[in-house]
Amino acid sequence: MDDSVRQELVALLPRLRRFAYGLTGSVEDGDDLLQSALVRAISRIDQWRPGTRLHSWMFRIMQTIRINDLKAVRVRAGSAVAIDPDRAIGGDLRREVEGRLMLDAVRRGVSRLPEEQRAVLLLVCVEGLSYKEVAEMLEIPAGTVMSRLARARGALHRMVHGTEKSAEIIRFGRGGNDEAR
Amino acid sequence: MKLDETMLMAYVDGELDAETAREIETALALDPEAQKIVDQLRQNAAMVRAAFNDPMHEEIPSRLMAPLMAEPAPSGHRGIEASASPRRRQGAGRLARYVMPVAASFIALVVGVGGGYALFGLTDPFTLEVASGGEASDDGHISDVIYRALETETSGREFTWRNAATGRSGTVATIKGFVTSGGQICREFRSTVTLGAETRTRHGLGCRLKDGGWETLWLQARNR
Repeated sequence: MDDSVRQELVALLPRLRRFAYGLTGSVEDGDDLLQSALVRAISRIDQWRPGTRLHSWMFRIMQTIRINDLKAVRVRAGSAVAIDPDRAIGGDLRREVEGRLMLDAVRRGVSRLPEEQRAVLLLVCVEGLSYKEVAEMLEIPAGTVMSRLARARGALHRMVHGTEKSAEIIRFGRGGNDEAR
Repeated sequence: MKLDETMLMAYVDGELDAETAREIETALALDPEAQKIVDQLRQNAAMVRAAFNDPMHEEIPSRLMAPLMAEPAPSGHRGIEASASPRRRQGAGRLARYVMPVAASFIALVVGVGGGYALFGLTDPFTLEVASGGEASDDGHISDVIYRALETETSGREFTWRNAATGRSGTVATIKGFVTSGGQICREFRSTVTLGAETRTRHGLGCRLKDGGWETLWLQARNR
């Protein structure tokens, strides 16, 4: 493998770990996923077309492995979500505890999203990819990206903020219904 | 302009062209309900980012570095060819531009937040040697070595370079690192350049950019 590609991958590792964390819901499972993806990427580095975005290519490999893993272990779906209560977020104690609870709720909420919604949410909101980039990466129409994103946001909002606020956000649940849930 | 949810979402996600975005902003000023939705969308996106941000400033586990480690170096030292990668080239250009005094606040920041920071586990000692006929300037070699030092886990390890063309040699060692409140990793480093009996020491700061590269700048000399 070309040394500059190797270095680019090394530099991307923090972002790749973040995406893996978001997909799997735990840092450890995310690292397992990323490790598999790196091994696969290195063995197939000739399939990456220089000039295209390396991170999108890696995201795609990770997403593919993730989907295959899920098919393989469907029987033990619903396993507990690993949440590390020791992750500091700064601020004074009260705010810190509240913030921690909030972030736990967000992680829990993201982990409960349907797989295809989770990937789109992470790619757009965390990784900053455009709808077009996500559509190309996942090989789905841009309209589907938007409808999944809207549903993911609506569902996450309801899960994080509880049912009492569902009225004001339910507007996001409408429109597009290619993934009834 | 009618503000539907799809439009507001595209606006928040930066999918709209500048003109449409301006129209939305004008309409938002008259529509507190829509503004509330926009705020909520932004807030939710920020929370998702925060929820999964830890890996951005954590040490990379060695098992993830392992598949990416270069093949063993053929001899006692590891060399980088003079033709640096584009990323390092870019660093060299920035470096040259940043040879200037910087704000004292930057230095205070470095002094104020300590603590070693571990990034990558490159294990072998590194020396960059330029045999002969190289560029008259040392800047490219220095920036290559700085890049290598910044990418290396252990603070304090010294990386050396020699430039036969200018007769100069030097060292680079990272001193300490910190994470800014914005989650950006920064590392301070010390660079020495020796010509004959004279050695000049400078301090610099490297901060990791979003695209994975490093932005470096020289810090003003200070007494320690």
